[in-house]
Amino acid sequence: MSQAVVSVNAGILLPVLAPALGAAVVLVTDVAVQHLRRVHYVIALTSLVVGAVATFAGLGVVAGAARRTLCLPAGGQCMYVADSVASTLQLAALLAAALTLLLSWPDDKKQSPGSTAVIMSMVLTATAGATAVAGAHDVGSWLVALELATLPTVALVALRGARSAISGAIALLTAALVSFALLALSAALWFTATGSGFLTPAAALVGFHDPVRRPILVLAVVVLIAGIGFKLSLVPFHAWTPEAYDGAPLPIAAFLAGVSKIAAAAALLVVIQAIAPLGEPPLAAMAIVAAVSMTLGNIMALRQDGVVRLLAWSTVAQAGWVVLPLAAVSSAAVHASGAYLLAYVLATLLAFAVVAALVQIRGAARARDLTEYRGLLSAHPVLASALGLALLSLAGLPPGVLGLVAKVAALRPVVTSELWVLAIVAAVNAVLGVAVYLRWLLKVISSPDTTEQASPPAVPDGAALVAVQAIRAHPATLVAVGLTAVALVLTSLSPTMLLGMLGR
Amino acid sequence: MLHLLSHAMFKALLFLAIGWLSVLVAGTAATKMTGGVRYHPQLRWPIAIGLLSLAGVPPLVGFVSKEYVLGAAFDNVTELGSAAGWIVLVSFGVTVVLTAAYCTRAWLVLTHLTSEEEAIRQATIVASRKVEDVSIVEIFTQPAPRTAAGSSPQTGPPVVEPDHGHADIFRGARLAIGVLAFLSVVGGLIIFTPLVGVEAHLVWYLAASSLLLILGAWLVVRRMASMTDSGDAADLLGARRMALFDKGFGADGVYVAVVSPVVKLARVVVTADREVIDAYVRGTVVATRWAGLAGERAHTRKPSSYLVWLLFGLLAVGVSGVTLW
Amino acid sequence: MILLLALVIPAVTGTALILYGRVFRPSAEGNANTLSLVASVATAGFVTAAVITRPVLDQPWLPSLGVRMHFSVDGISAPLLILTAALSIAVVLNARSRPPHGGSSSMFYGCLQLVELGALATFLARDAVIFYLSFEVVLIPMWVLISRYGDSHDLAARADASGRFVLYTVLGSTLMLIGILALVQASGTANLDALAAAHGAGLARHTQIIIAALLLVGMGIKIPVFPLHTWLPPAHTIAPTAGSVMLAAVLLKMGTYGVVRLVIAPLPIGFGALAPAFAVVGVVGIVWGGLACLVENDLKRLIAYSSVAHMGFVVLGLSSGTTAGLQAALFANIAHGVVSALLFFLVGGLKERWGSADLATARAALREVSPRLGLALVVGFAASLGLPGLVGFWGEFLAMYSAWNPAPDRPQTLMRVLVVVAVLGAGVAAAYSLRVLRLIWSGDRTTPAHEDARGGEWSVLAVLVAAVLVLGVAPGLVLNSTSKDVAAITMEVSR
Repeated sequence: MSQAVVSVNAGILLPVLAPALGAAVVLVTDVAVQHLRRVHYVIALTSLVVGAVATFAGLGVVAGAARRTLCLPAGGQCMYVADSVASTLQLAALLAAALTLLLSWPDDKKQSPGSTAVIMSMVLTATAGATAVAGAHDVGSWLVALELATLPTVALVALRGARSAISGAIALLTAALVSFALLALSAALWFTATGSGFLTPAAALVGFHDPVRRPILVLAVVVLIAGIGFKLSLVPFHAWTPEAYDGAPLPIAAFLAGVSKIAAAAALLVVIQAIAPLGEPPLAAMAIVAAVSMTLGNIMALRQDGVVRLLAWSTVAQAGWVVLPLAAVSSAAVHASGAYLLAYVLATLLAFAVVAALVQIRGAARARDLTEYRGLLSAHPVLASALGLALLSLAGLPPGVLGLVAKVAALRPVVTSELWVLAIVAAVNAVLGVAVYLRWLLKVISSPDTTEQASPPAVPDGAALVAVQAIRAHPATLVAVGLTAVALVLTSLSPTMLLGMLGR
Repeated sequence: MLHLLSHAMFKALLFLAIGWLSVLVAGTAATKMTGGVRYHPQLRWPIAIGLLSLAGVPPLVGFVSKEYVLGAAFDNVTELGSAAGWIVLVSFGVTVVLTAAYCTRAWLVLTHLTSEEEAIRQATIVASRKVEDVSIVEIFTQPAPRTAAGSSPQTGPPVVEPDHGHADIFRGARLAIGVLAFLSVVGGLIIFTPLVGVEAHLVWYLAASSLLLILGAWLVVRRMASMTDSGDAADLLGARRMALFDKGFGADGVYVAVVSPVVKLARVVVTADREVIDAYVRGTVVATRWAGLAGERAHTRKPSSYLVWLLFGLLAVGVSGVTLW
Repeated sequence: MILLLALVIPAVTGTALILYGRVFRPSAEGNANTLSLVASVATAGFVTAAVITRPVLDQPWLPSLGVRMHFSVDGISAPLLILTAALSIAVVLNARSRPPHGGSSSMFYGCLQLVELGALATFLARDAVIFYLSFEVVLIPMWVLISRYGDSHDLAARADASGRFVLYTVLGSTLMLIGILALVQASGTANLDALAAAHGAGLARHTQIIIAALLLVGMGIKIPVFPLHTWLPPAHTIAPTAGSVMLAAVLLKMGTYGVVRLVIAPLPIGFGALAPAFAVVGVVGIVWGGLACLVENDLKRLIAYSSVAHMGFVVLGLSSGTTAGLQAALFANIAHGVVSALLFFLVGGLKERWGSADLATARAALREVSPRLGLALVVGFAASLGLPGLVGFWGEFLAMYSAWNPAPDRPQTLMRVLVVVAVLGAGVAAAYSLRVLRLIWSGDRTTPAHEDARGGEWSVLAVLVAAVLVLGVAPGLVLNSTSKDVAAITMEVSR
């Protein structure tokens, strides 16, 4: 083989390199100087912001003008391709990770001294994996990046040490391992079917046109969807979601709902763009999975009395909506899916942020119980308004206009392909979704019972004793709530701000 | 059109006048109004004009319009010679008779006084010479068998308070009655103006024959009334016939027979709305709740539960892989 | 600019009232009401200016989805816009004498402003997706009005009514969204004017039928047609007066307006195929609603069922396929708006005076104790039963007349049978209207006494009574406005 030098452009790779380097710097700093806390946060946030700024160049570009690097010599394939969709998802992942850090800032004092660095580095590593998978164009880096995005979250979930945390981490670990097995299998099948290590339409067509290899290719795609389904919480691979979310600390649950989903969806979109020419069969599987996920997620969410579990099941349902446009053979499908993902992430993170703020004000036991939200509007009007906006955006009703536009965008490819049954199932699920979120919102806006505020309820968890007095939320949390709320309001007034980033 | 106009005039006049009287006598039953016109002479001319116009006596407006309708019907007959035209003409004659008959009865009832009352009246006329004061004197000197108590417009009334506590008959009402009476008399002249597009001709023998019919009816009813105590000619018809007439030969029964099934149908509709149509809507809520319960059972928090889901997922993958092969 | 202001004023006022409710203290009640009144009057002024000058607002909003912020006024939407703006003022005026209870008043007025915003935007929208968005804007504020400020005697029933309203309506509007997306995809444009001008050119018959079916079912839930009507009676029974008025007089009109804009104009063949079924459910609704009213004892529920019956006439007129039918339907829309607003203001006030709206309890006769209320009630119910000389007559009569001679592609025998049934339904309407009048208007009971209408409440009732009389005697005021645009829509249909 002649001397092959893969071209590397660090500037284009910065969204991946920045968090990775940040993780390294944090660990090194922790080894060098012990007992630092704030510094680690600052380093982590800085690296995330640097990475976010680096993605700007890739936003809203025309389809052909993707940013490529890690290319094989002599005009060969590139292993890293960041088009507008990928760049937008990278930006979203980095900002979501920054939000997670803001939310976990106040918990800092309760943790053991060394754990701050560990948490920071794991968050940054997982984020680096998320951004890497968005631009990964060959099977190897795709697989590694996806696992890099997933495995640290297991440790993050378990770090709290409580029983529920451990069980949640085990659920997550089991799912992650099975998913990894399936994905590795699908990668191998892909290579067998297409003879190429690259996730490109050309490679897919090679395998498609060969009658011997076609079934292998189809099997590869199905197994791949299953593998991604674990990470994206699609039915029937969703069972870990409520356990993991409930057991994890709240900022980590937000991380799971945000960055992990972005990573999984980005991975899926990369593959979808490659297999779009394949047509019907895999897409039918996608349609079934989407429909069932939406329905089961909504039905279960209706029964939840714990706020975090409700958000977990809502994530399952929203994952169904994210995947819904991909059931259609349509050029707009990928954009629609990305748009819905972004709307979902923004609204869900705002909801988590408000819950985190309430945990600080009222204590974990009270803030995680749905019935305790009664009369929130009179008690904390600003937080309640933010929560209301988030819930309505998830429900897809004005004034959550972003969610409504996302719903329209998601339904469009389905209707264009005349998948009437799926469209009607989606309509029914829109109704169920509204029921889920309005159930919560009704409590928020109803007038408080005078009897409830007479005495704080007896709590088994000792941590809630701290919250008996009226406490203000930590400024970092409030900043998180404020920034996310402002972002949601601005994107509701002008959704083009978000959709334009995804390109035409 | 002309008949509509004239009907408006004299019917309005009659209703207002009778209404006025009914307020004064605190009721509208014929038994209460008996002799009412005698006790309240200011109503004599309005009611008389109204009834005469209703019957169709010339030269009042009722006569004019009736004759024109009759003339038009007759033209129909002479031009077309159809059986339907004759039926119309004949039935028209019958209505003329009946109208005159009930107008006469009404007038006789309103002006009827029993022999004692007649005697009292004569005595008071002799005594006072002032016809207008008759009613007042009667109130204070006679224990009147009826509750009718007059309220002459000239003096303040010690009126038997009817249940409703209405105010006195005020000037506007009196003015209105006066105007309508005037219109009923001279309204017939309207045919000579271009306001009504009717040719001004009259079929003389028809007019003459209808007048004869009116006269005949008046005589017969007067005779019948003189044979009764109450002055009400209808008493001679007999109670059972009266009941039949009152019920409109049983036409009312049709109305009652229709209402009951409709109301029953309405109750069926309300029940169906609640139990059948809304049941589907409530059913979705129930179905969702059951599905949720089933889902909860499938998602226990034990680790084995989600391993089962894992297995199920892998099975689904395998099956779909094989089928899509 | 005018249109922008007409929409921005209620939006900003509504949001400010909801969010900054805590700023208005003390006497929060008066302040919020005054601000809301000023905003409503200003909006009405701009709406009137828009109706006269007919401006156009057209800005790109979502280029990637092809959605433009396109608003304009035409003859069909002009009467509805004026109705919405006028009733928004009326609702606030009425609340001056009858303040809301159940929550903070600033949120109450804020929600009313947002409902007005949604309704105005729906009638002004010229882009199909913006139409859908505006359709949805009214849902959450109305849900808040019903669930917080509604009848608090039975909290479970209140939650049920508000939940049923919002969920059933969201189902309808999502189905409508699917239909809209299909229509936009098939026609290649989202511009309502372009869709109407195209008259379904280039769309295959079965495509038109499928899309029309989706749209009709979706909007049928909103209108509401039988058998999709069961959300309306509980919603009206529980909602506060202002909520009931806006719901009956404005929100229901959005459904039929949508049918005219999205189904009749762009999908004539599809609608023609479905019109007989549509007419049948409409007429069944007339009879069903009328019969339900005959034995109903809750006054608000009764008026809700009568709304179902009146919208049945609108549906009948729409299905006839003729210009006269469409004119009749649009007029009946306005007529129902005015009459139901009048009745709901009245009944809302009565419910507050009596403590309940139950007809089975003996009450003081309105004509004895409160003649103003009695007059308004008589005029309202007389118009409701379609008495000639009042506004209700023209809608019903013209609808039946046009259905008797429907467009050539409608089955004439079926339509004539339906007209006969509709006449029977009108007879039942007379029966239940007079029943109500007999029960609460006539009679001589004077105890327990209640106060008569005065102040804001009376001025609103008086204006509405006058409107009922004026429009009944001069229907041309509305018919002339709609005639030209209606002719443009049905031009090619009734060939």
